Amino acid sequence: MMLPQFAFAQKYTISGYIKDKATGEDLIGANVMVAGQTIGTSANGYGFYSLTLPSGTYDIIYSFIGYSDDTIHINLTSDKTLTVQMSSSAIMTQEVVVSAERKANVQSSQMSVVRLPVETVKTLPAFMGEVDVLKTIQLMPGVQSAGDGNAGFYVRGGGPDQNLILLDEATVYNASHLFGFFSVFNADAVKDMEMFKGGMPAEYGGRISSVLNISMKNGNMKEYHLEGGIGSVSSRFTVQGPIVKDKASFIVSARRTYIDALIRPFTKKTSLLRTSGYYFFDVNAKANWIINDNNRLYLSGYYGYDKFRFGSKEMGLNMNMPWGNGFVTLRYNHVFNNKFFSNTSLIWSNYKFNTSVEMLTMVDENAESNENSSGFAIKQKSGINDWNLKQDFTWLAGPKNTVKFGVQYTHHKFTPNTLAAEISDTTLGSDFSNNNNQFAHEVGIYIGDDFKINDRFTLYLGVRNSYFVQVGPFTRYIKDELHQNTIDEIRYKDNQPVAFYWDIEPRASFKVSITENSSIKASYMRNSQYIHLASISATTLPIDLWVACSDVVKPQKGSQYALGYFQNLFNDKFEGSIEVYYKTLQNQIEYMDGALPGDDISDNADNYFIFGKGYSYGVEFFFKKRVGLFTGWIGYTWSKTDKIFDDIDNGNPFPAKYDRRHDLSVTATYQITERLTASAVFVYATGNTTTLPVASYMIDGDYVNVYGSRNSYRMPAYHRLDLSVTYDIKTKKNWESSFNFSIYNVYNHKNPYFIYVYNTGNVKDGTYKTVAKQLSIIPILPAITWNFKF
Amino acid sequence: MRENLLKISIIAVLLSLIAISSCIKDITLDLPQSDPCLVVDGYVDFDDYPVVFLSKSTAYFQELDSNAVNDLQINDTKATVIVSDGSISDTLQYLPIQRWPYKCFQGTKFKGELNHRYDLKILYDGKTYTSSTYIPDTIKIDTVFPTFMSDTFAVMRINWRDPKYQSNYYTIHVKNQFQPMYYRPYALNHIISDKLADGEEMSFAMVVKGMERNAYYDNFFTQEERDSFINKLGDIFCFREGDSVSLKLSTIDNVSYNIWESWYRNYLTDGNPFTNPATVKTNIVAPEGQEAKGFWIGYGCNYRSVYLYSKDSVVPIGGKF
Repeated sequence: MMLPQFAFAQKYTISGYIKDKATGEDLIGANVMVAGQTIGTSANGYGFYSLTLPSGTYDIIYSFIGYSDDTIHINLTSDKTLTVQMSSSAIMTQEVVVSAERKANVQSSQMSVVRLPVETVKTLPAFMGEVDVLKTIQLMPGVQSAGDGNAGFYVRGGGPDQNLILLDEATVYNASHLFGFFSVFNADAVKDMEMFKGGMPAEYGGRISSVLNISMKNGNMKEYHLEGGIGSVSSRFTVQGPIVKDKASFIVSARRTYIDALIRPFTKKTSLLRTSGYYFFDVNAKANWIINDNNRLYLSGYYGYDKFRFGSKEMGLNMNMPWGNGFVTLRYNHVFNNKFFSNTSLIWSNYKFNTSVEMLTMVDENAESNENSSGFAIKQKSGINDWNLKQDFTWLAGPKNTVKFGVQYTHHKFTPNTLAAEISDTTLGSDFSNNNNQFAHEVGIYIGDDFKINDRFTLYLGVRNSYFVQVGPFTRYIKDELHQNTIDEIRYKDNQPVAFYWDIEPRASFKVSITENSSIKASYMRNSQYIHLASISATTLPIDLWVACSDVVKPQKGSQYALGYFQNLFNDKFEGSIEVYYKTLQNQIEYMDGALPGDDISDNADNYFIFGKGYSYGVEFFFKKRVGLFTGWIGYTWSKTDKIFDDIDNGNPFPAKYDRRHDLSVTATYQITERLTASAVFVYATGNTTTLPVASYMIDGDYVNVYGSRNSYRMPAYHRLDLSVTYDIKTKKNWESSFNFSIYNVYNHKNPYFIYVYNTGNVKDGTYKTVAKQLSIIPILPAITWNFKF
Repeated sequence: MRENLLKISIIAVLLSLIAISSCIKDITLDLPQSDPCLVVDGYVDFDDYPVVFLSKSTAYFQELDSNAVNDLQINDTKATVIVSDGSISDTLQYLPIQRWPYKCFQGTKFKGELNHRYDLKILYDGKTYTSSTYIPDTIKIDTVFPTFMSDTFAVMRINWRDPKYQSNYYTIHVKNQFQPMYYRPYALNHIISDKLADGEEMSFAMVVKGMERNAYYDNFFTQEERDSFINKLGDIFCFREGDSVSLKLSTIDNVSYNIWESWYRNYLTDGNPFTNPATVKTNIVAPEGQEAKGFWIGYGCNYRSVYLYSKDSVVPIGGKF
């Protein structure tokens, strides 16, 4: 079957794309292995693979999760282009498939990586029936949710701003709708997702904790399909199909919630529910064109926003709060030759958060005229606008050696909180044309080499060189010692440098195979991050402000060391791993005590920051049953995350608000019959920390509370069980549909969102007392969704 | 002030949004105990004798029945309060009062003067606590007049001109004929800095009559209040026909402003889960190893009063009453 390998044997390359047979979608990460050998490769983010072997006869095995293996016998006497189309397989048949794919977790040099097929995500219970890739990734060890109603996720003790979230290579600044209840990623439009919790390859940068790389589907190259779901709070529709069969295709997916519209007819005219409401809307669209075997174009876009409206005639208040993201990405793949792949991306992305409040002075309805009533309006704006140009090269130097290098440039425009006010038609305060935007250029140059030393050792070495320069126009307000008064201003002209930072960021991973089914891996990464998310509250909300590095704010720097043991069991049906990590975080920011949303208006936001550092360490256990009627995993993390700020608690370490000692996730999916699938998710997490008063005193007729040290109180633990059942209705030709019934928080556990305290009574009567209340937001919630596809 | 309203609005909306599908339950918190410390509430007004109230702080979750309240009172026989204007030292006289904190000390030898520094020394339970404050120049009030919201209810407006090229800090207090003392107005910031309006005409509407903050809490959140919000709002917050209203505009120094500002931030952030709580600053210096709370503030105050005879007839009645 295999010819002996000669030192001077002529080498040839097999290259091409790996695709789904039915839809023509690229299979990102599909494995290519030489039968009987440990030589292999995997498809890149565009489904392209290249494998160089000495001339000879080989059986090449193509494999991918959820697909039947494809073995192709080739006689390699010249370079070959081989595009492979694989068929998806039913879950049950996977038991008998001997898949090289299953060894990837122990054999690749990459550790701390999470890869979830969307099909897995779709089998698990979903909040309000809305399948959510972000929620599912939070069930992996080392990735934490901050609980219900929190938008961000936390990776190995890092903050929510330290995750690089990419959707078709565009940076997503706000990945959630409705304070984290839904993610912006419509599962119908998502093809693949991959997360690096550590050992980040050099092609990624600009964030210090993790990368979540999500790829959108390209659209069916063969035939038209319409699919969607109609649920109790939202609906979604996806259309996809060929523009030119096997040459060009498109996909458009859209979603909208309609709680607001459903409630309105049942409310009184005067009800707050009629004049207030919330909805989100998003749309994903993508088109791609295979010009020829060596050239391909992609155009993808996303636009989504949340809108909250609050109106009360009695209170004379009208408030609108829209926020959202959008991006457009144009990408060009070029295969220079069978070993050299290039991708060029041009990306525009935008994030904005606006608020407008109209305050009408209370009007006396009986009065003949209300000329004296002068209402006023306040408009607030913040956001980020990026232009991004990337040039990435992959040089598949050989079966043992893959080199990636490239350069990435981003132009940022940050709009910190900007306020305009109108009183009786007169504009006051700063107007939007004259705001204190921050402009910056960011450049990253990288090279990384994944090198297989021999059958047992694999080494990845990479380095990234990053630069950041903030340029004018910019006005720096200099404050007095007490941060009260602006005592001076420095004005920078257009393109005049305000601040300049750079860093060398080494990355390394190393794997030693112990047996065919087990390995030990180690990794190190150092990253620099030039933007911060200033979170004013104990929860992550859209009012959190993105700020760039400036002359005052230094870049965040993170270093992480990780070590792991990986083991597959019972013929690869089970996989398990244990990873330990230690991470340091430099130049972290917090708001000063008592800072409030809006303080930074007519000022530099960073004048309200204090600076410190942090560290985190932990151990993560993961055990997964991958195939069979019963599948699922258990993930457990023990960790500790502390921060140290000179201005908080006299520089003593204090726990981060998302410091978690224990974090457990269990998922299980059971295919009861061919049509009926049941699944369950259980999560348990140590409570978040918070700061509460420890004493109070009375002064000038008022009670004043004295707060304990920062985050010194721990809220009760968070735990929850979700169940779901999916029933496939009898499938007709070209028509599939299913009902999904899910229950969120089955035993209705009142998970704490926050705790608040207040005083009642008064001292004079002897009735004074303090009361603590816990607010929980999501009770038991059943949801039903009808999904269809034709 | 507009900015504060925006802040309050954002927070109110977030809270109401969450309240839509939320569940609130009482819980018991296990918090560390803190030792009581001395609390000083002292001031020296322009043209008035210095006044100091003394009390003690309490652990947070302590129900204050009459016994516990007694525990929070200081032992007046152990306290000596001395105020000095640099040349004269005045040992304040103990003056029991019928309301919290019951222990009051008042000066007899001199009244507060403009552009003067006043040092405070308290000997209590064998320990010495000190502080110092300054009374800045007063600022002339230009006008005080009501704006009637309806036939019955009015808000008060106060105007003055901020001096240019200097940092000025102000507080506004207010009372009507029924109220024994000047109170801070609720909801809108009663402390003002000229940092954004140096040398400008200052104009502030007092949409509320002086109100103790807890009285507001107690009244505001009952169901009846919500049922007849407008009427109650007027009743609680506005001045009425027939009221005599007195406004007190005081200048304070930068240190005092920072204390009041921290108090105000504490007030806005207190119990608010969307911020990190602010600690109220103090200018009371405690001996090594001890703690003290509270403040000692000089007010360069100026008064203006009016009698709201009717919607169409407002009678100036001079200064303080």
